[in-house]
Amino acid sequence: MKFQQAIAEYKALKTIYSQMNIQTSMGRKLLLDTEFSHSEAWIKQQWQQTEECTEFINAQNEQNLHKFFCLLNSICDVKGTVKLIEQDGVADDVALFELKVFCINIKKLKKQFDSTLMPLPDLQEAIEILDPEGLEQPSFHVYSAYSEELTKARKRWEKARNENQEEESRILYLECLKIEDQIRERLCKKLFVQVPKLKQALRNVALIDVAFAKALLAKELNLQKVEICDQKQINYKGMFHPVVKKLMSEKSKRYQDIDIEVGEDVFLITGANMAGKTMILKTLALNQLMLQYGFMTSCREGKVSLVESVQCSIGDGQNEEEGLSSFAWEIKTLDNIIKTMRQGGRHLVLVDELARTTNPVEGRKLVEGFIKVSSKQDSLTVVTTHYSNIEAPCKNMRVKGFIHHNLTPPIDIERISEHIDYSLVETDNTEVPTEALNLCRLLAIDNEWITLSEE
Amino acid sequence: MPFVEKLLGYKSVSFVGMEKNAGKTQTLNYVLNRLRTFSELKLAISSIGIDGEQVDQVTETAKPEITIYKGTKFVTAQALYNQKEIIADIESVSRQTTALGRLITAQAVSDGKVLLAGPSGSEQLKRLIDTLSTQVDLCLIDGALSRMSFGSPCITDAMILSTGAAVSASLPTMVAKTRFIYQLTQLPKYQGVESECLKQKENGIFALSDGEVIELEIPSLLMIDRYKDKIFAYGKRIYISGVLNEKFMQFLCTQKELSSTEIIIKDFTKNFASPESIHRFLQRGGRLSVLHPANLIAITANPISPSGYNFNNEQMLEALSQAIPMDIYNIKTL
Repeated sequence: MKFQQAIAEYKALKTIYSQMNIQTSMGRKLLLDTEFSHSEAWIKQQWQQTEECTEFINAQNEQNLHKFFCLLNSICDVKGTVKLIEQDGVADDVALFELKVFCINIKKLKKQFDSTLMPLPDLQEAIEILDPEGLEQPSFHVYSAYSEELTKARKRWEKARNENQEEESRILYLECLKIEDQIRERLCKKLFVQVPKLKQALRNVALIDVAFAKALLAKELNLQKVEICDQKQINYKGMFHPVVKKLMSEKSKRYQDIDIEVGEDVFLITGANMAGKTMILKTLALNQLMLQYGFMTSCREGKVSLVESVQCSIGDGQNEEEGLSSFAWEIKTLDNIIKTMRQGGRHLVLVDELARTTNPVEGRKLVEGFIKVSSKQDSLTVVTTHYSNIEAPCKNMRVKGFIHHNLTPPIDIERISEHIDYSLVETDNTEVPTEALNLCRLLAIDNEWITLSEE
Repeated sequence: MPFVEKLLGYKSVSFVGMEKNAGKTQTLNYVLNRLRTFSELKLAISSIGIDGEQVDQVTETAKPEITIYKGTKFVTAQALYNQKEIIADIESVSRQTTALGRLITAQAVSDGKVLLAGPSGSEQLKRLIDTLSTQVDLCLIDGALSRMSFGSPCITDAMILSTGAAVSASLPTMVAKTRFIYQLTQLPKYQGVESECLKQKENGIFALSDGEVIELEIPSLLMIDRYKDKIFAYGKRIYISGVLNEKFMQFLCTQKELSSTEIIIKDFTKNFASPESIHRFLQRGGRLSVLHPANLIAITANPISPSGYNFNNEQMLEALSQAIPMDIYNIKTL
């Protein structure tokens, strides 16, 4: 799956993407065309490139950095022109102008940031072809300096013009154009030799652009590298959802990072409502996507296995659009996930409140069945549920939940995070947290409703 | 050297013609030629969009070629850039595209002829003028008495109007039409506190009441019959962001009392109503004002029409001067 498709599917990833400062169209295209990678080497290479940019950023003052990004921003895509030259075509003045400005800008960029991992080629020869007067100005026309013949023809034309010989001047101008065409052809032939270097410049300026955007993102969201391992595990210490954490901190609300160790067994999470179970799944999905698209991840440290794909069943009401009942939509989604797992390979499977829309007796059985099916596969599976006494081979975890002391209702729903311990603890799953009523009371919900519910 | 010196006091001047062949291009060429004597003056030239007139002329053979001189910057669309007859150094290429390709900014290396087509929206044109203003002393804009979405000449500091025999074969008719346009350019600027807010409104009809801007939710003035009750629901000061049409003016003239009615339009080019109904409205005490006033600094007149009939030079100037209190120049004798 390409990054472009992934951001259409995962809202948080799109938010991350929209926060990135991509400067060039080449960079944007490169990033959007990036495939979900299964290569540890590629991911590490991406991190190294990001780190090279981070070092550069840290060594600059704000003003220089601003100038650097302005320069990067002014670099235009000249892929079309390079292709034209490669195919023995002749570029027009506008295309040659853009190519010249591109080469000059690449030269300037190289002077400021001489990357060892994404090296920019020396384009001096190309610049000289387009700059016979040696001024290195960001402008272009077919200079008279290119040929004596052109100089003479232009002089004849100007003379006729000045003498108001309309007809004559028109003929002489066409003659100049003919010579200009020959010169452009000659220039493009000379530039043909430079095509490999130009292509390298195009490729690497895109890499540089993306790497800088990733570096700034990592700095802003405090993203880290993780250890990539072969074992079936996803372990994070201090994992957080970068989008939500930033949002919370902007509203000066509490956000708690958590530790999580998903391994061989299916990872089953129970916990009170509002305790952040769904958020754990979403964070795991986002982190895995970021990792395998070559970003750093949102945690303090981690040890993570690469997966073939991320499979989610996190109901967000998408089903309505397809005209399916919520149950039908969920069951179809899970069926597809099972089919994918059966095809082999290791996937990250994230299922939120499995079978929550059906009766608890059968719902529990469906959960147990799904866990049993998943256990036979190589995939890493995390399931959240409200059902207790699940009898299936899994690792039972619970979100600690409400910190009850010192709580007097009503509490502000906006500040609920201050009263919840989001950390995960092992449990035996004989009893699920029964805090729904308690919660309603804390939130000062209609008293009669609560009282009658308790009877 | 009349009126050319007047231009030097401005950063941007647009040239508009009442009709095709009214002599706008001749005026522009005259000005460009005259400005050569100010060797220190840095000059740029572009055009308002690609209106019907220019597209016609792109496809036909007769083109309004403008002669510019060494050192002048010009901005034109790529398709027209390639038809130039001049040696020019390309300095920048826009990222946005117009119907005729991207906009090329170039500096003339020799004297020669260019074809111009600039950005088509007022906003883009304004941005272009702002950019050019940092590099040159004076921007000349080949304008148009534009329609609807096209850029308006009123975004420049000053304006020169060209009229002539091409407008009408009858001298009195030509004078009357020119006088009407002149009168529109003299519409007062709306002074209310809401004017900054109104400049942001791209479409809709609004009531202005005690400094408040209230959208009237009338989709079009063409449907004024159905919204008669709504239009004055919040008072008699109305801003029309689009075109002021004849139907609405006639509707206004059926109102009993007009002395407290004020209609505000974006600029004078947005008026499509007839001179008769405008005059009637104003005579009965109605007020018509604009957000962007036009600064008309000269009128040029061309006694020769393309279809062959000519006015007598002196009679033409005499008739225009009597009707319009403004400097008027015969383009043929400049």
